Amino acid sequence: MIHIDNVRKIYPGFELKASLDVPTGRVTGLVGRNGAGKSTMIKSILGIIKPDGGSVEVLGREASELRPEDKMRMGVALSDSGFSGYLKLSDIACILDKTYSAFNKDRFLAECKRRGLPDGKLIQKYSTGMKAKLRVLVAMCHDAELLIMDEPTAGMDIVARNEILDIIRDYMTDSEDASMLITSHIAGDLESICDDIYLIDNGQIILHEDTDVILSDYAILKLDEATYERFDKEYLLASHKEKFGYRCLTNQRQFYVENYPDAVIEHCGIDDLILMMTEGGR
Amino acid sequence: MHIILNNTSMVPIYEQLMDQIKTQIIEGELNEGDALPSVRALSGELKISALTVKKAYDKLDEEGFIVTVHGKGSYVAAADTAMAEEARRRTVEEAFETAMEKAAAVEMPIEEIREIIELLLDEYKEGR
Amino acid sequence: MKGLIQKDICLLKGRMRSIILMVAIGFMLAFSTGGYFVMAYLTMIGAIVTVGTISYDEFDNGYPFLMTLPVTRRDYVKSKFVICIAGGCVAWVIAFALFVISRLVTGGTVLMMDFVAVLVYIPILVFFVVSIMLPLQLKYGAERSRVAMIAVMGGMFAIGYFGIKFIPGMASAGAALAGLSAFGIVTLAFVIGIAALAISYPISVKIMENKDI
Repeated sequence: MIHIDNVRKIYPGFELKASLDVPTGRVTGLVGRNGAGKSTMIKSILGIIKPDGGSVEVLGREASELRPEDKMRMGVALSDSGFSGYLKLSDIACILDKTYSAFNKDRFLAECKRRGLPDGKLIQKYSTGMKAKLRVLVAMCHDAELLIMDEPTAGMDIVARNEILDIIRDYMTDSEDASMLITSHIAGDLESICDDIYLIDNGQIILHEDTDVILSDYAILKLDEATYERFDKEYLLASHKEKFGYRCLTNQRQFYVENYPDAVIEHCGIDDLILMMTEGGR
Repeated sequence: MHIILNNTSMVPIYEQLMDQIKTQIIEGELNEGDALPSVRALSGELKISALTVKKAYDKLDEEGFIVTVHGKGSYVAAADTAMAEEARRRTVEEAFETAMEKAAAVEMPIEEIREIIELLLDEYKEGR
Repeated sequence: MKGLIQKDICLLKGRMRSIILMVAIGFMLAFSTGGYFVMAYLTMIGAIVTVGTISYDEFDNGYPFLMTLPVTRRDYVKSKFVICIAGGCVAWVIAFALFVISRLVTGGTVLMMDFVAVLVYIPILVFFVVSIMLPLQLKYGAERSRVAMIAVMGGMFAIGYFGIKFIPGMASAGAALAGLSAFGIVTLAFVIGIAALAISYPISVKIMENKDI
């Protein structure tokens, strides 16, 4: 669905150089800190910006050459751009009706009602959570095969975030072959949805791993200075000096569990990966 | 499907899933020919990645507990008591192997190991 | 493109209150002046309000999302031209209705000459103005092109108002010849107006395609 091969984009003070793949039927997460390059990647996938090098293929075509027929198969939810706030829900339903051939107005409005989105109110008067829900529902209203969600849960509290994730999960359950690329800097959300994760930092992909491998084979080790000195560091991906000694990241949890049964070995989540592997995390 | 996963356990999620499905099959909660939920459906229900479910299903298929028909779904395989017994035996064997590794790590003498086993067997007999 | 037009219709519906207010003002003007002023006024309002839909699109960073919809940038420009020309013409029709009503109610008459004369407002106030305002707003955005817009509006308005005043004058100079002249002038105006649109459209498409959003 998405095939990015060494895309390059140069801005003053920042350079993007990355490759990424989202095969059919896959849910891929792209995480990283603010300014790491997530939006640049998304914009190049949507054909909004033209790369300075490399290729960005979406649904088999160069992203900059996407035709309306291709975009019919895509559903997009952006965190900072959407329908005009001066429209109402029924207006948006009318517009979508005339925009997408696979759109079903009754189903859309019923789903919006079910999720607590009121009609008759200007969209700009919606709460942050409602606006986010609407963006996600709009992206999913026309049976898109490829969904691109840029920070769908940005700025929302845990309850609202969970609601959004539920909406996304329901859609993916009903659409077996749909693929999705979802970005976030709240990585914990993605652990329960994504099949694999790309970690981007300073314009480069520094990690690409299946989610279940991260959750089972990656671990955080906490060691005191003495233990750290004589520790077998072969499988440590990162080490940070802390007050108690050292905090380390490994992708071979089993090795350390077997060989250092006394060491403190903890679960590693995607947030831990960001903290341990990105520059600012230190 | 009544699956409860422990996100903080050291046992990988796909293994937990496999174990619980195997148990349901062996104990008869899932019968031969029953359709398992689709990968996406189960992943949505359990809030885990679809790939994790697929991994579990693939391994269960390999071990003969389920059969995956491409394009249709996964179904509980023919009730092969020998297979189920084999699996049960393997689980117990693995547990013993772990115990033996621990004994080896502290270089426990064979006599002590035997004593421990005898003690446990006595308790086991009383328990039954 | 249909979706984009629907969007603009919904946005304009939202402005219905201000639109009705302006029509009401036009109504009063029609009675107070009795001349062609109401025609110029309302037609111009029609063009300005519809061109104003661009400001809704760019407000709050709306363009990135719009371009993820199954439309091309050319479709977007097309939809703007369609809605602005249609809106201007609708405004003209309403203005003409008000003009006729005001004339008849005050005991005057509406001549064929009047109709032909005010037809000129369509190419001048709608076609020509839209041809200039659309590319300007697409290139510089609603805010920055505001000053330029006012200047253009004022200029067009003045030409429209004072220019028309002289046509009936010329018409009364010589019977048949005069009719032809006025007619000829209107035709000429339409030709210029359509030519302006024909030039403005590809320029606007080019601006939109190269725009950074």
